[in-house]
Amino acid sequence: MTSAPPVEAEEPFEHPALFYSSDDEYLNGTIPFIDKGLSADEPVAVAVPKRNLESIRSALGGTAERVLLVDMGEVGANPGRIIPGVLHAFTDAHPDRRVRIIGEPIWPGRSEDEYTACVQHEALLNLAFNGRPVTKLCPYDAKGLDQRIITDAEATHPVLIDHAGRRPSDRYDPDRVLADCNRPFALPPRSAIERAADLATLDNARWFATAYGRRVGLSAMQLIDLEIALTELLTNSIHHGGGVGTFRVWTDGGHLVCEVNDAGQITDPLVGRRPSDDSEHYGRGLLLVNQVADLVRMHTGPQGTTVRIYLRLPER
Amino acid sequence: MDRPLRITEYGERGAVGLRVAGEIDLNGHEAWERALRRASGRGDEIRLDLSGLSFIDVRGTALLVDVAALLPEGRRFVVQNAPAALLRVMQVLWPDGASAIIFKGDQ
Repeated sequence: MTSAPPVEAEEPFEHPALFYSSDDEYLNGTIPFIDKGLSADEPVAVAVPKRNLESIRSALGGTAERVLLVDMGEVGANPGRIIPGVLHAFTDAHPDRRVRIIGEPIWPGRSEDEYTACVQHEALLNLAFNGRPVTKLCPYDAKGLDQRIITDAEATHPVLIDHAGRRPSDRYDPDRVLADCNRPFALPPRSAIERAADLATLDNARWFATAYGRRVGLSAMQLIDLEIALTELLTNSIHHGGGVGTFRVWTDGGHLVCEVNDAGQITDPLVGRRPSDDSEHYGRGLLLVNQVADLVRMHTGPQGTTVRIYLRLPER
Repeated sequence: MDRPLRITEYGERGAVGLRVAGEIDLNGHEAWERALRRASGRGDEIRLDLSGLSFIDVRGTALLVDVAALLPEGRRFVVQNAPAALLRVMQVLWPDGASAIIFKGDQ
C-alpha cells in the first residue's frame, strides 16, 4: 500500500480540510465552494451535521434546491458507511464529470471508538478516490475539537484551509494514520460469552447470538441485522480465516457488542467500502455489515483478524 | 434449532415453482443455486414460496438476484412470504430492486 504523492497539480482528487472557528468562517469557507461548483455546472452534495446543514441551507436560499443536502449525523453515524453509501452513490451517479462534496464526519461529541473509525475513514478517502475527478472539502470545528484531532486532520488531508488561507499540509501521511487505526482492541469484559463456529455450527451461532440479543432488548429489526451480520463475519472466517471463527457477545451499557476473531488477514484497506457491484463476495458481506451496524471496527494482521460490531440498545 | 434446507419443486394448474424451507447459508448455496437454475426453465412465472424459510444470507440473496438477471425477457420470479433477512439484504444491497424479481405476500 503506497500513499498518493502529496499535492500534485495533476491529481484529480482534491481533498482539503477547512478549519473553522466561527459560524462566519464556516459559511465563508463553504458557500463560495458550493457556488463555484454550481457555476461550473458540477453536481454538488453537502453531508454535514444537522446544525451546520441548516446554516448552509439558509445561506444558500433559493439555490439550496440545486444541492443535495444530507444530515451526516444520520448517514454517517457509522463512518464505515460514508464511502459506499454517500460518496460513491453520488460520484457514481455522475460518472463523466467532476463532482464537488462537502463532508463533515467529525464533530465534538463523537465517542472515542467512533472517532477512530472517522479518522480511518478520512485517511481511506485518499485511496478510494485517488485519480477520480472529485473535490471534497472537510470542515473541522477548530474551536470545539481537540488539538489531537486537528493534527490527525493535517495527516489525512493534503491541503489545509483556515482563516489565513490555503496551504499544502507538511504532515500529510494517510498510511501512518491507517496503521495507527489498525490497533488491538481492549479485551472484552469477563461477562462476554464466547463460542466457536464452523461450517457445521453456523446455524447454531445465529441462534445463540439472536437469543442473547433478544434477552438484552434488541428490536426485531436489530435481531435480523445481528443475525445477518454475524453470519457474514463467520462466513468470511470459514472461507478465509482457517475454517473457524470465534465469536463473543456482550453489552457495554449502550450497545450490544459482537466480535468475530479468526486466523485470516485482510489486506485490502477498502474492504467493505467498495460499491456492491465492484465487491467480491468477501467484501459484499462486510459492506452489508457496515450498513446494518451502528459502528464497525477491525484489527487485522499476520496474527489474525478481529471485527467488532456495535448495535445500539433501544432506550428503556 | 437444526433447520436443514429443504427445496421441493411443484407444478400444478399452470403454477410452477419451488417451496423452500429451512435456512440458506454456506451449507445450502449449491442446492439453492441448482434449484433456481432448474426452475428458471420451467415457465414464465416461477413462484418461490419461502414461507418455511427462516434465514438467507448475502450470498444466497445474490444467487437469486444473479439467476433472475439471466432470465430471458418476459420471465420472472415471484417471491411469496420472503423472510425478513431476505427483505433486509435486498433493501441494503439492492435498494433499487432487482430485475425480474417480484415480492408478494405477508411482509
